[in-house]
Amino acid sequence: MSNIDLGAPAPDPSNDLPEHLRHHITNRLQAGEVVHLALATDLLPDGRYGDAWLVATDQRLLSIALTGAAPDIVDYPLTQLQKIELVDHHGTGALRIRTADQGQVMARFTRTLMSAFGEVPAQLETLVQQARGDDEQIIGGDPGWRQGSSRRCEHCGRVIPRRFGVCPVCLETRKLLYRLLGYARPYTGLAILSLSLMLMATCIGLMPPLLMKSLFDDVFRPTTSGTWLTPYLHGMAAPEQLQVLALLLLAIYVSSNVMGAVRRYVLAWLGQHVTLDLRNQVYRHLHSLSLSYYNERETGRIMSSITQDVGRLQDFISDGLQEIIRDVLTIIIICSILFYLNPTLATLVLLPTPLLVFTTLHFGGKLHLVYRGLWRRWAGISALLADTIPGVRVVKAFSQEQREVGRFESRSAELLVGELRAARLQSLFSPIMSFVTRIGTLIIWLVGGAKVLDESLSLGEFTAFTGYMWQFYGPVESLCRLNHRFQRAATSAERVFETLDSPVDVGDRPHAKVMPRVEGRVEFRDVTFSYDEGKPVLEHVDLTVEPGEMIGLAGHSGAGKSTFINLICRFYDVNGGSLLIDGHDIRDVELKSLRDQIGIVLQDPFLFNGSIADNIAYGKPGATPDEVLAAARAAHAHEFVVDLPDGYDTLVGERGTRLSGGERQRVSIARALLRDPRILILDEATSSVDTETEVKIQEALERLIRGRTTFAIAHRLSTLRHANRLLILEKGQVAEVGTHDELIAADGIYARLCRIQTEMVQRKIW
Amino acid sequence: MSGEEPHDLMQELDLLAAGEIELYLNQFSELFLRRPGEEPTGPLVARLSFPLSYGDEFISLSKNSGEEIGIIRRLSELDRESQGVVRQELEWRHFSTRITAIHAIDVKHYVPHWDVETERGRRVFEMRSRRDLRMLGSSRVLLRDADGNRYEIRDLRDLDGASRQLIDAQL
Repeated sequence: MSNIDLGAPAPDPSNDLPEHLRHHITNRLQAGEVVHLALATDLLPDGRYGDAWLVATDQRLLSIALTGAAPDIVDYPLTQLQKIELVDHHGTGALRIRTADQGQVMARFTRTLMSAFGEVPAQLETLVQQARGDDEQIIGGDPGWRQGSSRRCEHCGRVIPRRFGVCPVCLETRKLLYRLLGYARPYTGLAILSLSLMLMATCIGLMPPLLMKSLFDDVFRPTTSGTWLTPYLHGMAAPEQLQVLALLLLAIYVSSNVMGAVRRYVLAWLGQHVTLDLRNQVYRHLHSLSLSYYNERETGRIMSSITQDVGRLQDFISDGLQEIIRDVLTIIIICSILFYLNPTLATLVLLPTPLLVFTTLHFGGKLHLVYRGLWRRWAGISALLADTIPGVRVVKAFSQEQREVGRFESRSAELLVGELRAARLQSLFSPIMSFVTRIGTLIIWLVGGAKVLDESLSLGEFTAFTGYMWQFYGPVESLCRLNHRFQRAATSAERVFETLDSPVDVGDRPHAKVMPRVEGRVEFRDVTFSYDEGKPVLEHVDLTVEPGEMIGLAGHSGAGKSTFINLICRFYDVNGGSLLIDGHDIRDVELKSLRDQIGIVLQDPFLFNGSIADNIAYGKPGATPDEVLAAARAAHAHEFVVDLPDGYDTLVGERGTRLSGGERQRVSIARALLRDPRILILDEATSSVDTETEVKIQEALERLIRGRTTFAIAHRLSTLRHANRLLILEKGQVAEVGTHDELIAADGIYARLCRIQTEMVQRKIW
Repeated sequence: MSGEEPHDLMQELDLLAAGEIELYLNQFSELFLRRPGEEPTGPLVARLSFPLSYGDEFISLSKNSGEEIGIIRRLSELDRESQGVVRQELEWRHFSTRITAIHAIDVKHYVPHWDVETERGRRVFEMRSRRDLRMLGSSRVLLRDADGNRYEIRDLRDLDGASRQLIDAQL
């Protein structure tokens, strides 16, 4: 595939064309005709997969389908083209052109090439203009075209597996792990201490077989060659020698266990401190990120990066690395001792090791897959429960208990099948592993035994061999899983660092001032904003709101009302123009000093798990009970709160679930009022309360909005009747501004909305 | 209220009288609908309401603006030419390729690459996760590759032994 940037003096793309295609094209080109663009598609016009090309020269646009012997070629002179468009059929895409009297699909492609074709209309347009020699616009492109996809890695274009979330190829494992070790650096001393303790314990732990050798070769059946302990045991009687050896063994056991205990605690201390730092750093950083970070990611992913991923990193930093060192060391020491004792026998008994490695890798992989499948089935059952148990009212209402039981039973049966498969594999794996590890012993018996008989091997050496064989396999097995372990740690590290490295896009500028007490003049100066590039939500909004004014925001869903207030709170920064409060660009003041003076009541009020009083005082920690009570009375929350057995000390439960929607809303109004905000934002603040309560809250609000600049969004337009001015947004632009009467007189969008609502009210009365 | 016939819910289903309509492509290859004695309506988009469970039944026709103009109960009720035109439109939209054999499933960098034989020719695609492989009933398998292309195995039992073995490891 070759795709040419027309801006630069491009090399002749026909050089990049595959031989078979170039042959067909050059036959057709006229003298002096130059190929400017050649793009391969993956669908033939009839829908089969195949080799088809879209080629543009300086004069023509060609569609070439290489089917059979003779290619299928359609061409149009560029000067005839009037419209070039990409059509997204969802399942496939197409590039369609139009001349004055005809339309033709020039290329079809699967979703794989959707983004590759994104730029083509613009490129063709340039060519058409050059061919025509004028600047007359043709209609090309499609603003809604899918651009690129995040499912592929930005660097290498490879598919990103869903369970990783990051490209496993581009993971720079070494770099990540190095950075990770940086977190352990303040604790280098401890790390070295625990490592040396571990190494000592390992060495001591490898002693017993040697003592066993001495027991046989010095005590039971003294040999002429003796052992390394012979000089020390010299001159003692056998029972004494036995006592010395037993004492030595006791010393080994005691010291290695003591060292193990100390090391375990040091390691835990180290790991916990490293993760404490990391976990807090991640959480602190999360709170400095703007809402766009949260919008782009799943909540579960963000949460697991703090809980699971950091935990895995701890495991790796504290245990993983040291265990690897220990395993390698153990293997080396055992091999050395075995070769020192008897090189021939050592070679023989180590022969089954590759078999062990192979079995572990092979079965390990399979078991991993089976257990993952099993885990998915368990997750399926949990999902089913999470679905039906909270929905039990619906199940009962539609009397579908039998069906739900049936669904559960079939999942249950699937789980049984999965469990049995795992059990089958496990019951095969364990005996095979144990057999493989016993081959070594078998060899020792056969070959070593024969050597003992012909006295080229002492009895002590024989037992030492057997002892070391047993200590040899554990480390080998665990090293087999090394790669898996590294990969897991690197993936977690990548996710954690991805969070840590996300830039703070809405933050305090270097010389941000503290916002003085707000008077309340809010100015939008040619404000443009979009959440995704290319799809503006607000366009060129100009508006000045006087201090103390109440602005009612109305318009269709998606017109930009919530975005409007998101910008005032500076949840996002404007893309164009500026937003000023009392003449200060809000990007130049400290975020906290700005938001401290804004009170907001959201459509879906979020309460935190705690008492009602805590929730009301959330925005003003340390508020006195008098203040809490005053705010609650103003918001008409007081009436229902005092009715609760625990009053203001009632716990609201997670997300405030123990309160009704209207009650939550009133608590959240109280919460906003308690801050004594200079700017008050009501986003559908009374949408979920009954009419009577709404009237009461409205009365309260009326008193409270006096002297404060207020922005209120409402679908029920009657709520906005006290607004000084109404602002009607339509497709991201200010469509109408004025008082209720003015807008009714203008007979525009607002007047229509009002009429519809009045009709609905009248119908309800009927 | 008593005595009044309850409203028949089925009246809400806006079915097009297949005998009275004709669908065709205009000179710009756009889908239009014509009723005798009326101005043609279009350009239209045809969509399947139940692409998985009812195939070419319940075809929704709507204008580019999104306004639905009606539902065709069964594709086979239309005249032969209209059928062909609509079927082709539906095929581009609900593009799903039937897999007839599996040559290999190689995992590279944790991503399975499927090398398959299909009704449209040979194809290699990558899968992002097992969630993109969905069993429908006991023997029908739907697949979605990393770019969102769809594939289907109508009946697992029709696959040859080698293919069966390869896919069984994935299910």
